[in-house]
Amino acid sequence: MTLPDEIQKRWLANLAAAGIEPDTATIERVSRDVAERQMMLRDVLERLDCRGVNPDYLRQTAGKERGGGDL
Amino acid sequence: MVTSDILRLSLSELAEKIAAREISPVEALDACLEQIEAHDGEINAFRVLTLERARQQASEAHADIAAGDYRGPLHGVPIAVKDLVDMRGETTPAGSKVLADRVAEQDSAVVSRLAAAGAVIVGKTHMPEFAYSPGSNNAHYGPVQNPWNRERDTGGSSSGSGAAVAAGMCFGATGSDTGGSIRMPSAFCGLVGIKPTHGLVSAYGAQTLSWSLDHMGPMTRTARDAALMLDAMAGSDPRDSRTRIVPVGDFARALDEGVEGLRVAKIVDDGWDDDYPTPAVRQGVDAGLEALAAAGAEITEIALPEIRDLNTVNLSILNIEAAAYYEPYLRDRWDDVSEWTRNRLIGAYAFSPVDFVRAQQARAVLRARVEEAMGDVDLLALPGVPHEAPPIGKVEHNGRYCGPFNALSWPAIVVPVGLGEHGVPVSLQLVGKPWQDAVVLRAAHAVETHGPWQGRLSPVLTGE
Repeated sequence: MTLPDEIQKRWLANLAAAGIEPDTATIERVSRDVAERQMMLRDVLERLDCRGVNPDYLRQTAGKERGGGDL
Repeated sequence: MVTSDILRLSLSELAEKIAAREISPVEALDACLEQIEAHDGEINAFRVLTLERARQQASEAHADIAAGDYRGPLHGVPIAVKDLVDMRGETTPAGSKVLADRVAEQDSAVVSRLAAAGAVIVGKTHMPEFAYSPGSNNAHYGPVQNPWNRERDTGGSSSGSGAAVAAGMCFGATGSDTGGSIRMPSAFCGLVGIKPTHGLVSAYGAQTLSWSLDHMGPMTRTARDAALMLDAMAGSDPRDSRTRIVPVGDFARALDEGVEGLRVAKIVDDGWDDDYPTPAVRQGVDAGLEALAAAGAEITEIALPEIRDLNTVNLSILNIEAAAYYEPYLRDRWDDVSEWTRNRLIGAYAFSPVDFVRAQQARAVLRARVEEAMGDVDLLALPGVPHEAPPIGKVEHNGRYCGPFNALSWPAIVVPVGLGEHGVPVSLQLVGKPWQDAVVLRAAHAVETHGPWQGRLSPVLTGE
């Protein structure tokens, strides 16, 4: 599995912006796993219609409406 | 009582004998230390023993109990803690080199709550670097052997905790779980391990892997033992805003309510299309469900392909949050972070900021779908891990049945239901709705009572 060019560019740019500079061999070794992870999430996002959905961060971790108490 | 007989007791059995003054806390600690001395050179469960503190706690417990001041079921009981929770005066490497020299100035919530209940903290247990592996692999401290088969892995990331309890080096241990790290080693080591509802147990003073997915919980040989530990560990904490002000009931007492009338749904479509679970795992799950039926639960089936997508969402969010936390070490101490960990963390930088929000949106959508599909079902049933413990240090598809419930934040427990290939345990996982932690414990207790496991002990404990 190959990482699409635009994601590869973004990946390296983000790493550089964070001051993280893996060598070329590391990038090559990891890129297949990265491609798989990208593909997996992209597949989920394409199948689910999440447009306009409130991610509801507080509920994600609290279950507040189910008796989770006050924040 | 001779050492081997003490070590074969469950936590709750030991607690009864301590309360009755048939066994002293000093005697129980000495038995554990003898077992550690005999076996941990090879098993590698403990990173450090906290001997001075443990001996003091045991002596104080002995004196207090003799004076009639008995605090409850953990009083005088030897417990181990995962090496990512702070203990005052001890280091908290969390399996890493980069954190190896940081000495904790105070106890974590987990340690202080257990100590307040009178537990004797024996030591801190091994784990993979930053808890970021479903196996026991650790380039700095070495892997951990599974007490059921020393050539097999314990799973991760609460690897040492799993091995220590299964080997009788302590009577219970704490773990943390971000994608299965309590449940996977519990499953591989024949233990009960519960990931409580997110917010039930404070993570104050625990090394972070993922703020929104980390959970603290107990790992024990029985559901009653887990309930007793959770009774001590649970509760709101103003120092951890993730915790909630909820009644933290008497989990151990709730076990006796049984499972009559509970609706348990076996997941028959989990979204994957491969050869897993293995035959032994399938048989174990069915045996566990038969036990629940025998105890009066109603067994149904449910198709829940969202499980696979939830696992993907969990892995993505975990990856991004972990990279955000550990970025300074990737930037400034690259060579001191293991290659395994680096390779996982740097992958997070391929995601865009929008991806992170979309993953959270997907999490909300999938949660709604699961809630709708469950309806009036009380518990979901599925394997803890889809296969038996792999060869030591190897990582397979360990976490795919665990991670989904970190993303949901719901309580999930594993309970042993048989032995699979290579003489290692297989487990059933039971998942409840938020804050129904007592229900999952009740169900696990029913599986133990009516199922095929019947309190089996590892060869390290039986001497076979």
